[in-house]
Amino acid sequence: MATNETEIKINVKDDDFEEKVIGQSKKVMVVVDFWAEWCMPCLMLGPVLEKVIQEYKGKIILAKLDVDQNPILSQKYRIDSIPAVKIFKGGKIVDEFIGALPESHVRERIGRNIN
Amino acid sequence: MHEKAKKLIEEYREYAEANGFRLNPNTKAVEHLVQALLKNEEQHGKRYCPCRKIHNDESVCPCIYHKKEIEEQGHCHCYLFVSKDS
Repeated sequence: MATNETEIKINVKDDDFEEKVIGQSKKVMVVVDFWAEWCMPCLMLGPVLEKVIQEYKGKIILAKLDVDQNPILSQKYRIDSIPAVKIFKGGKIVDEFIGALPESHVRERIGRNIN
Repeated sequence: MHEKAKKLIEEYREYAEANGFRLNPNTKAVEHLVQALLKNEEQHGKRYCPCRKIHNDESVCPCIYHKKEIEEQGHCHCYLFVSKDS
């Protein structure tokens, strides 16, 4: 479990994704937000993800990945449209969605995967 | 905001009205998106949607997906265009 607030939201890159997402997801659920600064729905979804994930008090990590700065992972995970969210547990993707979903939908998607 | 952006916003406004929908009434959002489109044009040659990472003719704004998205969701994926009743 993440132990304090600063660990709940992290930025990840091409060269630390393996450790910070794949590795960590074997201990806690990791929600990866593929985003870019010029993408309006990304800027809308970001705060919603943070709000929902914070409510889980360390049981979930939110990993932000800027697709413009990290082309290798964007290609590996076939990110065609953003925002794209992929939920990792046990080293694997267990769920994913695209677009700025309303808070209730985000809450439902996170909630269904946490258990 | 520079003249090129203002002109493009007006073009998209006219396009939206001619096609039965409208520009997002959030002017800040529209300015942000138009800046992104112009940035893509400068860097990649065409006004590719800032939310689509595959750069081909399908994703040049207005993209081939926008009308269906507006009809089904009330807005195009990047929120530049919205339905009249949204």
